[in-house]
Amino acid sequence: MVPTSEVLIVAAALFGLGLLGVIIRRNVLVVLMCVELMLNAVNITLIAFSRARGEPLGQGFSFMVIALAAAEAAVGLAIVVAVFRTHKTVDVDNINLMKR
Amino acid sequence: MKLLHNPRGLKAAAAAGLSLLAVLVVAGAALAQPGDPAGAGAAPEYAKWTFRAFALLTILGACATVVMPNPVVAAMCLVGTLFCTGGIYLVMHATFMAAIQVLVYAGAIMVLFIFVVMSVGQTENERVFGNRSIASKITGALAVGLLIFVISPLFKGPTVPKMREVAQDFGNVEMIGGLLFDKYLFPFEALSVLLLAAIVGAVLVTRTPGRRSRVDGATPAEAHHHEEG
Repeated sequence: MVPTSEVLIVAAALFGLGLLGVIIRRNVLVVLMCVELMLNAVNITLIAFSRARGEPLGQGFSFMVIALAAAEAAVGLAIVVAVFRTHKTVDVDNINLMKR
Repeated sequence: MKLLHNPRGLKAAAAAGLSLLAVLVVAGAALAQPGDPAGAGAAPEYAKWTFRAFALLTILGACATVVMPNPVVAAMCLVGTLFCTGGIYLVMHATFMAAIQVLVYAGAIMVLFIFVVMSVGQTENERVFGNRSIASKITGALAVGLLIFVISPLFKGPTVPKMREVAQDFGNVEMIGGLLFDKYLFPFEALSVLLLAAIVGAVLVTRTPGRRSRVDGATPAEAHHHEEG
């Protein structure tokens, strides 16, 4: 039997790494990948508690998180492509569309 | 870091990953061996060590995703991370979610990512550490410190519910499908509308470059000409 606390620690570490990536990376594509890492950490937590409680609801919810992640990736990457067409950059420090 | 800038380094990294996976498979088989004749007695131990192996690979992959300067390499590391996360799901008896993880996440979403990385073509290496301002470094350190503080009770004792024995069909397609199509039908359908909206939005945002008033007052033809030149 897998100890629940170990799973939660792994999920927290994954979330922390994703957060660190979001903060320190400059390439917006890698930032989006790190957001995916954070979503995965949430999914692991949901499934761990689903297993601990013996109820499948957490798995259903993490299914919805995956669908949301797909939508987020599609829209986010579309925005990246559109920004790259006008600005020729994917560096988050140079993307300031709102600042005119 | 320097190692991964040339193709030989990439090959070496791929070989290292494959050998790690091979070690994992061999270790899993070796651990599973004593469990088979004994029945259920050694199975929990096997699950625990399989989980630890997958967790190690997941954390390593996540570190590589964050640290690798080349976005293509980072994406490949993320594929490995997501695959190993699927393994963790499998250990926790979430078979359907493991399949969805590998098919949708490591498959579809990451193909989209790699497609965009390739089409954007900005695959030059970035200096990951060193070029951030002191403020963001402090923010990063604070975030990680806060996270360690939040999870620190987990190291002390059993404050969380233990994983219990579940039925053999726990987490299979039938169970999740019954949940999603019966009790939680409305969120499921709302999610499908959201996905449709995301598809339409993505197409709308990326469609016809230059036609969308980049140059104010330009006709579409002029804007198109501007785009070409």
